[in-house]
Amino acid sequence: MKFSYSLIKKMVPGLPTKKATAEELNLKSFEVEEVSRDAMEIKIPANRWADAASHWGIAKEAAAVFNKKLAFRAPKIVNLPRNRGFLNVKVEDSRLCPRYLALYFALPQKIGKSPVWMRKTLKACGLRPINAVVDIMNYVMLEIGQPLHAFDASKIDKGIVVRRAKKGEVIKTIDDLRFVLTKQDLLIADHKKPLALAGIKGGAGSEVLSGTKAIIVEAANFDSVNIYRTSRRLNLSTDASARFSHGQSPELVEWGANRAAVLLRDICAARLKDSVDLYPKKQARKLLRFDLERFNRLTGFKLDGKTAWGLLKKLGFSLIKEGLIETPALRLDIEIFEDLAEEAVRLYGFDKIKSAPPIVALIPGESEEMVILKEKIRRALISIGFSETYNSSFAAESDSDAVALENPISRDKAFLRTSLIPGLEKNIKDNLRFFENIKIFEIGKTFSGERENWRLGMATRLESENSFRELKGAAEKLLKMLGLTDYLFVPEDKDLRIESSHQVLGYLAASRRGSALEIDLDKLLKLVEAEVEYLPLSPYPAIERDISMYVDVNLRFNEILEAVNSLKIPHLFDADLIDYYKDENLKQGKVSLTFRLVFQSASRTLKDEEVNREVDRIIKVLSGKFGVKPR
Amino acid sequence: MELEDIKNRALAEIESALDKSELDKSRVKYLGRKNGEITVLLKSLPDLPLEERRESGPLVQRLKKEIEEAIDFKEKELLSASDQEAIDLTLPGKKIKVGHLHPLTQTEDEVRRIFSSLNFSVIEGPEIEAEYYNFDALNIPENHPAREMWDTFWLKPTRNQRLTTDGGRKLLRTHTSPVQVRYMETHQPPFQIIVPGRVFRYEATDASHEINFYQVEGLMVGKDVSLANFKFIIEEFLKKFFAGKKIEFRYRPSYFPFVEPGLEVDIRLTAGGRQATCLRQGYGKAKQGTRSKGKWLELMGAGMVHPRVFEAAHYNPRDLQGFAFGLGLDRLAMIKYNIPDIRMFYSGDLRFIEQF
Repeated sequence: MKFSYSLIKKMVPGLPTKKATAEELNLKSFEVEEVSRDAMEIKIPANRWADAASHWGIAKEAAAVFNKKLAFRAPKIVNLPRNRGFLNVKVEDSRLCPRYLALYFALPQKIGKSPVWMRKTLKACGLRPINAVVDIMNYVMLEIGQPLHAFDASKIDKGIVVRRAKKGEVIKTIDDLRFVLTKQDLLIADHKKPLALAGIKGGAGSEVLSGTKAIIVEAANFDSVNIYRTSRRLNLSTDASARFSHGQSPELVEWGANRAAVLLRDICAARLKDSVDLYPKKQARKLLRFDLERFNRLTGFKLDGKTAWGLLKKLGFSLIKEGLIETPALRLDIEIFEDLAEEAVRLYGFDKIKSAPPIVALIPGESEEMVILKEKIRRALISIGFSETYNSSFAAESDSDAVALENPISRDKAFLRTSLIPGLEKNIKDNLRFFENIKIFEIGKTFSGERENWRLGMATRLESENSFRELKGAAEKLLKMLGLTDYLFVPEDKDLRIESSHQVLGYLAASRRGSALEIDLDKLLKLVEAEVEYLPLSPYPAIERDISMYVDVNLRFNEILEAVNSLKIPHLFDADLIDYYKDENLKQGKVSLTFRLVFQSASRTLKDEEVNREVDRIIKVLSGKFGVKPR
Repeated sequence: MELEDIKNRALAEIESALDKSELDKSRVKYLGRKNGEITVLLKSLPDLPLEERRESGPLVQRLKKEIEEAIDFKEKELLSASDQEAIDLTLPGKKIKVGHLHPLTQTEDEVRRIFSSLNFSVIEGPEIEAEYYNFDALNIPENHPAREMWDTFWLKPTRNQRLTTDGGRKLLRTHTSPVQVRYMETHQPPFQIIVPGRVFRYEATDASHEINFYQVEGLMVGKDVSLANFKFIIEEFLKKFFAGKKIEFRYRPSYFPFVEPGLEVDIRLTAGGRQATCLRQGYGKAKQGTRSKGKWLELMGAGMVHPRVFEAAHYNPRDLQGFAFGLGLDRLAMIKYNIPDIRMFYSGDLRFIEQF
């Protein structure tokens, strides 16, 4: 919100320069950003609009912060004419309009421009001067904080009624916009037509023009929720609606009205003929206990009572008796002890708190199991050359279970991702310009039918090697590193299903150029609790034998492996594929495979002859079963 | 005993051989077909009583194998040593390819490490959140502009969503703060936790704003956990996180409905610290950081837990005090690594990631 430094300085003459004022307010009150020349941009927190969204409010803060005298006082009017019959006002629901104060002025002269000082302030705060009456209304809002509205009294039929709109009722605002209303919306109307959208904007037809002879000035208080809802629904936000939406004190109404009356008299020679003030339920005084011991315990300060209460006094709080504080009427944000504590501590200065180590029972901190699992996976994957990417949680529609957003930011981000793979595939595509070999992974949440799920996605794309084998090998290595030993890769259509303990952990989609897999970490977490256990090392040497053979291209490696395993060869410790190639010199439809068989016994040194015998047996079985030809 | 002795002697001799002829001498001495010490031992085996033979047979065999291997190994070593003149020692080292952790992961790891050392536990929470936990339970009133501090992505209700029993409408959490209440509902103080995680804001993307980014929530509750304790913890954390740089702290009043008093923490780094001019995405509405010229960096929102938040968790606020804070992880990483644009984190660009 924009403020005029010179107006604040007028209210608190003892203030230092604009820069020094801004800096100190920043540390003790609100975030201030200096803007050009006279204007200051101050961020009023949502709970402080009731008292601080005005120059008066900022001046009160500044006076307290700099310990200076506040020169500005809210004006009082003596001998206020009341209920003389010029005004007829009715409020139908005082919950929606707790206070309605109307003033009737006769204007003996034509309405001219407002004075230069007023126009300057309006401009500094980003408002456009219109004419003296309208400018005074706006000026009082900036100065005191109370939104006001002036009607041409001659355009009002019989009297003012504050009522709910009828369903479908239409109002045309002063800027000629038409709004169709509902029964939730509050109107200021006369006996025939709507005059204004209460607390938001004036209507066309009753505005004050230069020739207006008499005006009715409205200073009112409206229910914040109601104004907020209407303003949101109509997408119509004004300085007045913003103030009312945050909540205003009905006590402010009177100060605003008085200030307007003074200015109208001084600037427009307006004569106050009558007033009506409908205020059935006066805002209650608010008393709060301020427990010094509790204050010191909460903040870590060791202030004495005099100092603490002195701080609150500077901000306009009154000490009723020891430990009992009355809050200023406009401080709607102060509701509990902690609110008072904040006032005292911020004015004293957060920087004056001495940092102190907490004294607590030494209970060891722990990390959730998923946090630990994710960390293990990350460490494992970078150790085998995978780099980590982060992708957006948003996606275009993918499958029917995808969660849709009510308010998507764009069409390609209208859903939540159901898989990490599209993101990884895009990463690969984007990186191909710079890298020949890419191995990446992401750990993140996916969403399906409002269930969210931790997933691991991995993808490979290698120029010189087989992406699929690289990825499958990496997945196996990872699972082993995590302590999961009983996993299976089961072909399903073109993919590989990754299984363990009869649960599907995920899928690996293979192609030689680029492959990707996705694993459900919530499921994996339940399976990896097994500890890695030491296997005794055999003291006897291992014997290796490589067998190379041509096999039919359609023969699956797994079938060969199973055939070998089913022979239950004694002392066969490991059987592994170490070479696989297809080249043009080979016969059509054949590939060359090389197995490495490792034999080892835990109880003795194996003899070459017995190993050779077993190798021969394997070759014989394989040739018989699959027609493979040893090389 | 005798075997052990031979073994030690043989291995020492082999190891100290300076050239091939010396090595060959050792080979003959131990493995020589006629008089090699091991050979002799093997030959003497059949003369031993059966039991002794069974016992020492494999041992001698194993020793033989060991010595053979040692000799082979030494032979290769001597061979390659004689090649050494041929190696161009100025050749560049081979580029060893390793994987890289994302800079946000590294930052989160560091944050977790430091807080773990301060006895904090690490907790996570859901990214799809109920309106109740994201707002109501945190004392953020409905139908009040205060809620606009968090621009929210709302989810379309699904067919079988139970509106009433499940805390109202569903949204993407706009901060990690809902985990405060979730955690307190199932745990009793005293405790101290941090909650890292992804959060979402409905806003235009630019160099300082992303629609998904990361926060770390902190919460410490006990009988007399105070603002002074908050200062201690957060300053310890930041000093460790920005180790090697001089760091100054500044505290300003601020408003977050779930803390009271509420405040904001700024830091200023000097010595070796290039000024980062990036922006804040912590508690509250992320905003353009215009204070880069002033050198102070906005880092996080914090405060003492509001009694209504304790009440939402069914605690008795009379007996308890605690502090909470919300730290923008992306922001922290941007300052630490001097990264100018938050969008780089989510680009998947390996030229960027592999710098870390």
